[in-house]
Amino acid sequence: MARKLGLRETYAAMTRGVNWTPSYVKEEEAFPYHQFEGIKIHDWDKWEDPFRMTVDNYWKYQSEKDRRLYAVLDSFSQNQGHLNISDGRYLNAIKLFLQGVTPLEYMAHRHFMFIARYMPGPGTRMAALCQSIDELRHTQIEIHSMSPYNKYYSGFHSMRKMHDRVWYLSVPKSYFDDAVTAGPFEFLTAISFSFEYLLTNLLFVPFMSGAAYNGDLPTTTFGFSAQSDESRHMTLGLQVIKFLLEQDEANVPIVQRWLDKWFWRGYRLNSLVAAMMDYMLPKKVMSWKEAFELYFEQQMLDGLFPDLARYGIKPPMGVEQAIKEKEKISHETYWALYNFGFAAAFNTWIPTNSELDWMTEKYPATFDRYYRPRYEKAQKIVDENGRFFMLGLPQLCQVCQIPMIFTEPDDPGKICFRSSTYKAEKYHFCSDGCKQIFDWEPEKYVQSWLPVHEIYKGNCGGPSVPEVLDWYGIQPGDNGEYQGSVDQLNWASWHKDFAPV
Amino acid sequence: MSASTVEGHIAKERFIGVDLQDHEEARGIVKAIVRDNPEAKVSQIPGVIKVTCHHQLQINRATVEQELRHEWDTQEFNMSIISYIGDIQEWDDDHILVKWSTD
Repeated sequence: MARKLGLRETYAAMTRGVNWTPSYVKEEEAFPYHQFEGIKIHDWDKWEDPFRMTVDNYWKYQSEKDRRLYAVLDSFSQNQGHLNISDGRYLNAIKLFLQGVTPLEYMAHRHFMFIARYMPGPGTRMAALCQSIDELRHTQIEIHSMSPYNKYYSGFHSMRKMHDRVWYLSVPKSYFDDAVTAGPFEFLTAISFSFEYLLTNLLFVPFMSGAAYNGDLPTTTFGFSAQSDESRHMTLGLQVIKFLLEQDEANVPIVQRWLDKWFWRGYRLNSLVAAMMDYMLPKKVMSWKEAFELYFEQQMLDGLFPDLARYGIKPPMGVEQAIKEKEKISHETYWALYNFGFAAAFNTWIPTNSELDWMTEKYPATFDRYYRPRYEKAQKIVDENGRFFMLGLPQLCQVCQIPMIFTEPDDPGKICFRSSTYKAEKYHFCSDGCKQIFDWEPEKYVQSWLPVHEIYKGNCGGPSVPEVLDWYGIQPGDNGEYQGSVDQLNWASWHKDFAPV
Repeated sequence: MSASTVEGHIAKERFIGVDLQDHEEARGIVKAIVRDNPEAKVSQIPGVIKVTCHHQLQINRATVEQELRHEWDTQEFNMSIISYIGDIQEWDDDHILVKWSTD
């Protein structure tokens, strides 16, 4: 009997052994997209994939992951698991995830399939093929994991439609659209490296650990199931960068530019995660500031970047500003969500006193001085006149599409405005980073689909708030204040016979 | 500009590590890692076990099998890993090695 191949040999046979050189068409006809960005590749065989995932192992482990997850989901539904989460408020974090992140998984599935077809290197294609199938699995398991909540809670019903239409969801949507409309190497740098390696832990580990802490069994389980794939994706991301940098010195400045752009794009996107972590989890795992210090400053700046320095790669543009903003962005972002919450497909609320105290402790430099008074004033307004909302439409940043809510890096009391003029039109930005990204590629960003502009242009259902909300797919109860909402009243009635804690 | 000179950033000790699900098999793997990497530090956040080392972290199939008391394929590590920090330098039938390329 033939000797069984080892992992290394099996992987080589799978990726290199089954590859062939096209003879009916020219190489550049079969693979037409990998040269126009200016990246030079001399030897695709230098591509290494440390996970060495082969097809037989892939199906074996992925099916086992799914079996474990679906057993949990059945058990959760059978046991009325939704009653055991920490508080009804918690699920608003999960609505944001379903509306904002799950559709990105599907976009990732589509574009990794493109990479799997069009990259000339067989190792790259195999890794991209596995990732494409992973991303489709993630889309499916996220929808399946959250669907048990859709029976009982608002805001879970129309994520696909909302993702394409609702103002705050244009932030993640435009981020990914930016990536898939770039060339294949920029896409890999954007998604595989900047998102999946540099920033992924900031999104997923706190989300999933937060779910575990708040009793959200389905989210914890799908999250960890997806994260095990994510580790493989991290490897792809790091491999892409090292491969590009090692293939040709001329690739270095191109990669540095992409890193500068995609760190800032990803970091701005993460401001929604920051707000979620600090404000939407009733039981909090760690603050945004702590997560940023651990997962970005310590693991990336102190850990990864010395490895990249030998290629001439520097920490990305805007990193100093991100460090300054760790004291501010969760507070500035949630305040905007609270103000414009009438038009969001989740509920917002004023943090409880003990939560405000927690933030005072976690953000001693800023919270009591700049942010706590706002929530105390908001509470006073609620007590005297009822909940207020900011009914106007905010100005949006042309690049990240977040309203102009961020303050000057060194002055939390002053809103940061930047602008550029291009072909006699003026464009507005939230930061030096977003302005720089626009100035590098103005032709791309003048085309941004900005939700506020589109409302004014008459493209979003009509001129009135109810017409726009209807066009967004937002139903009564999805939006607005949590206290007194459908979800809060249901939660209270479902728990009225529970023993007090 | 090196990472240590980024304005506002206080550099700390460099480390590598793996984040694992807090489940039965992973707890056995963690025991094996601690046996083979005496400097390994184990910490926890809800649902997650974090194992870190300063220079390198090696997982040996033979030690994991002793801890789990059954055969273990290194690819089964896929069922426990959530995330990692560092660079996976080797992953073959007997070992998984995580370290940075520069030390």
